[in-house]
Amino acid sequence: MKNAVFAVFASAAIFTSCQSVVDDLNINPNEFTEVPAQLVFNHVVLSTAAIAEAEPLRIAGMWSDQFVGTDRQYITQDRYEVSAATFDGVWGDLFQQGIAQAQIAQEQATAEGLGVIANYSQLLEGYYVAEAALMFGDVPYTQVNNLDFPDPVYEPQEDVLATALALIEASITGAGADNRVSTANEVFTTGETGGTTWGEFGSALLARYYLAQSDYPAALAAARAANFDQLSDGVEIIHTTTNFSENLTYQFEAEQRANYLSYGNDSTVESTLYNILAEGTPMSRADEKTDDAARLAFFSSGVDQGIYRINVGTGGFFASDANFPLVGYPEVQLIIAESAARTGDEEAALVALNNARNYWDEVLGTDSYDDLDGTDLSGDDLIRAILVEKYVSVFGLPTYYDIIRTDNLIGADMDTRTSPAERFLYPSTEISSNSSYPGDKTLDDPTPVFN
Amino acid sequence: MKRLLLVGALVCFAFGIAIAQRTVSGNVTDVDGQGLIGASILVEGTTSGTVSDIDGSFSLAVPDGGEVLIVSYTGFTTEKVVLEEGRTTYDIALEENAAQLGEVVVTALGIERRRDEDLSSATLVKADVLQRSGETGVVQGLAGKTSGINITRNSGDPGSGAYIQIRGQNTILGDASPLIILDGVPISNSNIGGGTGGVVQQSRLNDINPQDIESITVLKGASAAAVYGTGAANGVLVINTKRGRTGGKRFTVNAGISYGLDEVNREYEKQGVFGQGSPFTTENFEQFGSYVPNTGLSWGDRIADRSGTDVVNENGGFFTGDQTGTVYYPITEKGDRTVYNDVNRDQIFQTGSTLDMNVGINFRGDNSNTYVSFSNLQQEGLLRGNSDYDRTTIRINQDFNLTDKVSIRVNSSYSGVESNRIQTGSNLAGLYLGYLRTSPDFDNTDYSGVYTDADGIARNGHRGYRNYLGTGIPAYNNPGWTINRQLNPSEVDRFLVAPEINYNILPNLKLTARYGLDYYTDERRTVFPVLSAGDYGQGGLFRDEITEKTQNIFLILNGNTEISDAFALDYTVGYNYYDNDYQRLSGSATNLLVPSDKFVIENAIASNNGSTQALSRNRKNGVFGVLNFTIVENLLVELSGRAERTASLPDELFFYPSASLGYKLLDDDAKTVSFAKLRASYGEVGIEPPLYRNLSTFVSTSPGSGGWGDVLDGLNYGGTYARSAVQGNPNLTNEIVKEFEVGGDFRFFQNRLSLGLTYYDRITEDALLQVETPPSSGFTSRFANIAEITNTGFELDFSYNIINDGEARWRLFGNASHNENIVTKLPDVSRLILNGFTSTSSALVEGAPFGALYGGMYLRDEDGDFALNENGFPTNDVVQGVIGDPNPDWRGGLGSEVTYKGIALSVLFETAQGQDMWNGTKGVMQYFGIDPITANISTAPSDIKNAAGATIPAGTEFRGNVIDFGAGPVAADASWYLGNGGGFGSIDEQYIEDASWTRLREVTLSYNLPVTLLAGVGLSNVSVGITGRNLLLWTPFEGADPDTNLTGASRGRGLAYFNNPGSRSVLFNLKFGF
Repeated sequence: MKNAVFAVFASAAIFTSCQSVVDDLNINPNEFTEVPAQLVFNHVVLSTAAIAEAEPLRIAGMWSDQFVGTDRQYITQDRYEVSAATFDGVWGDLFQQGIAQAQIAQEQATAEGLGVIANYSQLLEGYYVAEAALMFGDVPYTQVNNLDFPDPVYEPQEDVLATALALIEASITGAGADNRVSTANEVFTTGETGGTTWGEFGSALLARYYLAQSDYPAALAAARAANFDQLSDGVEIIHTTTNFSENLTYQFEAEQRANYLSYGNDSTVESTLYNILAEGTPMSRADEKTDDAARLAFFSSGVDQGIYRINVGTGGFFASDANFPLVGYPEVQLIIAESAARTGDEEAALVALNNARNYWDEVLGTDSYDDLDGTDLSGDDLIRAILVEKYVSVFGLPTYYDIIRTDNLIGADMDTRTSPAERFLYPSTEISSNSSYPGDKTLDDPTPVFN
Repeated sequence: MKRLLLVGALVCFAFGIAIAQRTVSGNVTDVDGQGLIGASILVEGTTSGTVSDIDGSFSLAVPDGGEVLIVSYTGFTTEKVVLEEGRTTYDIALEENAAQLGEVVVTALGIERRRDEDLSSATLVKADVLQRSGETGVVQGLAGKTSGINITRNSGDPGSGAYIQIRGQNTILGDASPLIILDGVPISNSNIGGGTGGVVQQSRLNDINPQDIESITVLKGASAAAVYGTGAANGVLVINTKRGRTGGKRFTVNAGISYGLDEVNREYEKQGVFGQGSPFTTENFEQFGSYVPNTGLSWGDRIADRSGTDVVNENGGFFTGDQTGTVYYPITEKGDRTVYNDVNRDQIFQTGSTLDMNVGINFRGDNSNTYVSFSNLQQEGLLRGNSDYDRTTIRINQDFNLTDKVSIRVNSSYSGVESNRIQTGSNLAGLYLGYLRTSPDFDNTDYSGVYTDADGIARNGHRGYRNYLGTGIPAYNNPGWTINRQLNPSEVDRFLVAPEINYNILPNLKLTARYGLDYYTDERRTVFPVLSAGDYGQGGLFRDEITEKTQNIFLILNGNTEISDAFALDYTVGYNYYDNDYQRLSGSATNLLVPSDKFVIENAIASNNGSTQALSRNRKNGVFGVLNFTIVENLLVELSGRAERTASLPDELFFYPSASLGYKLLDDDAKTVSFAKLRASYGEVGIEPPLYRNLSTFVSTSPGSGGWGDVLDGLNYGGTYARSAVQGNPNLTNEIVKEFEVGGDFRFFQNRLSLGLTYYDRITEDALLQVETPPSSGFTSRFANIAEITNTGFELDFSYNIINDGEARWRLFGNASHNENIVTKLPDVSRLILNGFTSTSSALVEGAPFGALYGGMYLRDEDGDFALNENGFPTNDVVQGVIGDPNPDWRGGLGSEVTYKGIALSVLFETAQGQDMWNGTKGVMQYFGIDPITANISTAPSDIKNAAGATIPAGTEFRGNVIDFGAGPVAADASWYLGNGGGFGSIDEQYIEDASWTRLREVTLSYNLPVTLLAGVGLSNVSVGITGRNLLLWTPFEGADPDTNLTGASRGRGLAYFNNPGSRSVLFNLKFGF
C-alpha cells in the first residue's frame, strides 16, 4: 500500500518537470517590442501638438487672460486654484512622450542609418526641453531617460535652456536641415511657395527662446535667420475634419468640453483679448488705422448661452480643419519687432509690426490695418503696441512667456492675482515618485530666466 | 503525459490484492428505508471495505479476524455492526445526524467533509438559504450569510455583476476575485470592463442558474486553498450543483415560478425652486439669477417669480417633438412656472419586473441517476427603455455506475444570456449624468424630433436641456435619448462541460480523472445614434467579441488507511493542468455615413473604421498533495502543498505549503458544552505576475490632452508609435501570500448553539505593482515586486436553534467580520491610483488602507483649522492626500428563521459599518445648482462676502447659505459652489461621506401546503412564498444606496459618480413538485 502511494508521488513528480507545457507563452501577442524609427519620429512630431495646442495652450491662455474659464474645472483653473495634479499631463507629455521619445527616435534612426530623421528628432528634443524649462523652471535633463538614473535630478533652468538651444542650433546645420518641414512626416505643413525648412524652423524656435531670456540681439538674429519673408511661412500642424485629426481647440470646445473655455461671460467677465479687440471697451485699441472687427469675428463667434464663444465654426480660427501654427508668421515678425525696438532699431520694428498686422488682412481678405509709422508709435509705446499685437495674434505659451517676462507690461487682467503666475507647478507624479524632487514651488516663485 | 499517469495508476493497481475469506452483503438505508448510495462499509482494523451501490446494497469480502463493520455516510451517524457467525445478510439503517448534516463543508478539491473534522475557517451556505433571496446572480445571494465575505453590487441594472472579496485585498495586479470551483473545476469569473463610464457589466458568475446550486463553500484561508497554488490568493468559492437523487422515487419533478418587482431604492433629491440660468454673484443678489437657455447650470431666476407663460418667437425656426408632437419655438422670455422634476423622473424610472421559471427533473435509473434542469429568467429593468436581461439555462448532471468500481459523472450546462444595458457614470451620453443635471424647469419628455429652420428646411434633432430647440447636439444626452435611442445589447453563450471518471482501485483508494471546459463568447454592441452627446455626435458603432476558454485536467488519487487504532491517514495526491485562452476582437465605425441606427459596421469611411484585438494564452501545471492524520481521534493534522510552474515564470518551480492542526477537546452531544475544537493553520499561496510584463513595448499613440479628450490619432498622421510609458521588467517573481489562522468551533446546549471563531493574520510579500516612476525617467511606471499588503481580522459565525421540536422551529443565526487591510510597504511611491479620477480616486498609499480614497484636501493651518483666504473661505491644499477609507470597519449579518407547520418566515439583516464613499454625484449637483442645499434662500446677517469677494449687504436675500468657516459668516452662494465649494473644485474631501449602511437584506414568508391536500392532484409538494429584498435601508449616505461602485467589480472602491441606482424588490413565488 505504501508503495502505491510512493509510486503515485513519483509519477506526480514527473509531471511537474513538464516545463514545456508552460514555455514560450510569455511573449506579448498584442504589442510590438520594436518598431521602425520612422514611426517613433512621427510620434515625436505629432506630440508637439500636445504641448503647443492642447492643455498648456489653454492654461497659458487663461493665465494670460486671452481666454476665460467658464465651466467646471476651468473656472477654478482660471482662478489659479490649481494643484500639482493639474500639471501631471503636461509634464508627462514633455518628458515621457516628448524628450524620451525624441531621444529614442534619434538613437534608433542613427542605428538604422537615417541621419536626417535623427537630426530632426534632435531639433524637436530641443523644443521639448526648452518648453519644459520655460514652463516649470528648474527641470531634469541630463539624467532624463537613462536607466541608470531612476530619479533624475533637477538642473538650473538656465543651464537646461542653454542645452536645448545647443541641440536646436546643432540641428540647424545638421542633415536635411534645408528640407521643408513637411519632409519625412505627415504632421507639419508650410507655405506652398518658399515655405519653411527644418533649419528655419529651428531658427524660429531659437528666436522664441532667446526672446524669453531677454537676449534681444540673439533673438533678432535668429528670427531673421528663420527667413519668414512670406506670409505663408511658418510651421503648421495639419488638421482635417477626420475624427481625431481636428483642431484640438475645436475638439475641446465643440466635442468634449463645451463652455469650459471662452472669452468670458456675457457682460460680466470678458477676457483681455476680447476687450482689446472689441470696439468701445476701455481697453479697445481700435483707431483710424486699426479695425479689429474681422479678427475678433475670426476668433470668436459671439455670445451664445451667455458666453463669448471660441469660433470653432467653419472658417473660424479654431475650425475643425484649421491648421495650428506651431510657429507662425506673426510670432516671428513680432519677435523681430520687439527685439529691434529694444535694440534701438525702431524703423525695423515698425516694418515687422506692420508685416504682422498685414498678415491678418491677407488671411481674412480685409483691409483693416493701415501701416503704422514713427509718428504713431515710438519708445515704450511702440514696445507696448508690439506686445499687444502679439497678444492678439499668438495664442498660448509664447504669449504667456511674454506676460511673465515683461511682468504684464500690457496690463492684461490677472483676475484674482495682481501679478502674473510665474510658472506651472511641478506635477504630482514627480512629487510622489522622484527622490530627487527639489521641493514644491508656488505660482509666486519666479524662475530665473524671466527675471 | 496523460499516459504517464495511467502507468502510475496501474502501478497502484498491482498492490490492491486482498484475500477473501467470507462474503457478507446487505443494504444501507436511511430510517425511512430509502437506499443510500455511496455509503462506506469498512471491516474494522483492515483495509477491506466497499461502498454501497445505487440501491444502497453492498457485498463485501471479510478477511479472517474481521468482526465489526463500520458503516458511515455523510450527514448520518456512523454505525458499528458486529458480525454474527453464520449470518451473511445485514440491513443497516443509518440515522440522520442533524447537527452534522448542517455542518458539512466542501474542501478545495471538492471533497465533502464534516465540519467537525475540518481544520479551516471554511463555511458552507446551502441551497435553500442561498436561493431565498431570489437574486438573479449566485453571488448576490450570498450577501450577509457568512462571515469574511464582502459582496457589493455594481448597480441595480438587470443582471449587473457584483464584487466579491473574501477577507481583504491581497494583490494589486493579480486577479481581484476569488477562485471559483464549480463541481471540482475552476471556471471563469471575468468581469471585463469597469471604467468610469460605459455600461454596467454582468459578471460571468451570473450565468449560472441559482436553482442548480446545491451549496457554496467559502474557503477563506490560505491553508485551505494552498492546493491551488497561484490563483487561490483571494480565497475560493467551491460551488456544487445538484445531482440526481440516489434514493426515493425513480422520477421526481420540481418546478418553480417567481415574479418579482423592482424599483429604485434611493434617489437624489433635486431642487424645484430655481430655473436654468446663471447666477448673480457680483450684484443684484436678491434677484438670484437670470434665465439662460442651454446652459448646464440651474442657477437662474426663481421659478415662482415668473409671469406664467413663455413668450416665444414663432417667426423663425422651431422644433417638433416626436414623443408628444409639441412644437417648441425659441423662448424670448421665460415665463413657465412648471417644475418638471417628477415628469423627468418618470421618464426614466419604472417598476421593473423579473419572471423566473425553472424546472428540475430527477431520474434514478438502475445504474445511473440524472439531474436535468431548465430555467428562463426575464428581467425588465427598473430603468425604462433598453434595459433588460434574459437568461436561459440548461443543465444535465449525469452519474453512471459502469461497474462496481468504475463510475462516470458528467456535468454539463449551457447558459444563453441576452441583455440590454444603459450607459452610466462619467459619460456625457450616460443616464444619470444627463438626468440629474437637468434643470427643474425643463421638460425632457420630447427627446427627439425635427428641427425646421427659418428657411423651412427640416432636419432630425436631439432635444435636451442643453439644446432645447434640438438644433444640434446637446452637451449632455436627454435621458430619454440615453435609454431609448442608444443601444447596448450583449449576448453571451456559455458552455460548461466536466466529465469525470472515478475508479475505486481499492475500497479505500480511489482514482479520479476530471476534465473541465468552460467556454463562452460574449458579444457586446454599442450604438450611439447620430446626434448623441459626447464623442460620437456623428454616430458610433462598436462591437466587442470576447471569447474565453478555460480548460482543466485533474488527476487525483485519494485514499485512506488506518495504520493503527490510534493513527489514521487520509491522503490525496494529484496533478492539475490549467489552460486559459482569452481573445477579444473589437471593431468600430464612427462618423456614420448613413445616419441610421442599423448595425452596419462598414457605415463609415475607412479612416473612421477601426479594429483592435487583445489576446492572451496562459497555462499552469502543478502537482499537489493533502495528508490528513487523525491521531487518537482527537488530534487532527493536515499537511498540504502544491508545486507549480506557470507561463509567466516558466523557468521557476514554486512550492506552496500549508499545515493545519486541530484538537477536539470535547465531543459529547449530551453535555452543555457539546463540542469544542481548536484549530490553527499556516498556509502559503501565490499570485504569478501577469503575462507580458517582462519587456517594454511600443504602442500606438494619440497625442493631445487625453484627460480632456482632445487628441490626435496617430493613424491619421502616418502612424505614430512611442515606447510605452510602462517599463517592462524581466526579473519579476511571484507574490506570496502567507497566512496564519487560529480559531475554534464550539457547540453548546446539546448542539443547539454553535459558534465558530477565527482570527487571521495574512501578509502578501513581494506584491507586484505598477510603480509610478518619475516621468522624467522616460517611463511613468514600471512593474516591480516591492509592495507589502496585510490583512488581519476576526470572523464569527453563530447559529442558535431556539426552538426545535417537530412542528415548530426557530433558528437565529448571524455572522460578523472585521478586516483591516493595510498597504504596509509601498516604497518609492506616494500614491498609486487604482481607479477613479485624478481629482478623486481609490488609491494605494503606504500605511493607509487598501484602496484609500485620495483627493484634494482643505488647506489647514498647524492647528488643523481651515486656512482661510481673504474672503473668509477655505481653500485647497495644493497637495492631495488620503481623504477616506472605503473599507468597512466591520460587516455582519443577523437572521432568523421560524417555521411552524407549513409556514416559514425568514428575515436577514445585513450591515456594513465605518466605510467612506466619495459622493461625487452630490458635489457635481451642488455645482450645477441642483442639490436642494443650493436652493436655500438666506438673508445676510451683516455685510458678508461671497467667494468671489463681492459684498452682500446686511439684510439682503440671496440664494445660498450663510456659513462660518472660522472667520465669521460668509455667503456660500453660486460663486462658492461653482468654485472650490462644488464638485469641480479642488476640495474633494468635502464630499467624502460616511457610507455605513444597515439593510433588511431579505425577508421571506412561505407556506407549504399540507400533503393531505395534495394527494388527490398528484403533487407531492406545493409552496407559495413572498420575498422582499432590500426593503429597508438605513444609511447616512445621501442620494444613493452606497452598495454600489462606479468602477464595477474592480479594486478601486468607494466611488459614486452618476452610477445607475440600486434597487429594492418584492418577489412572489410558487414551487411545486411531483
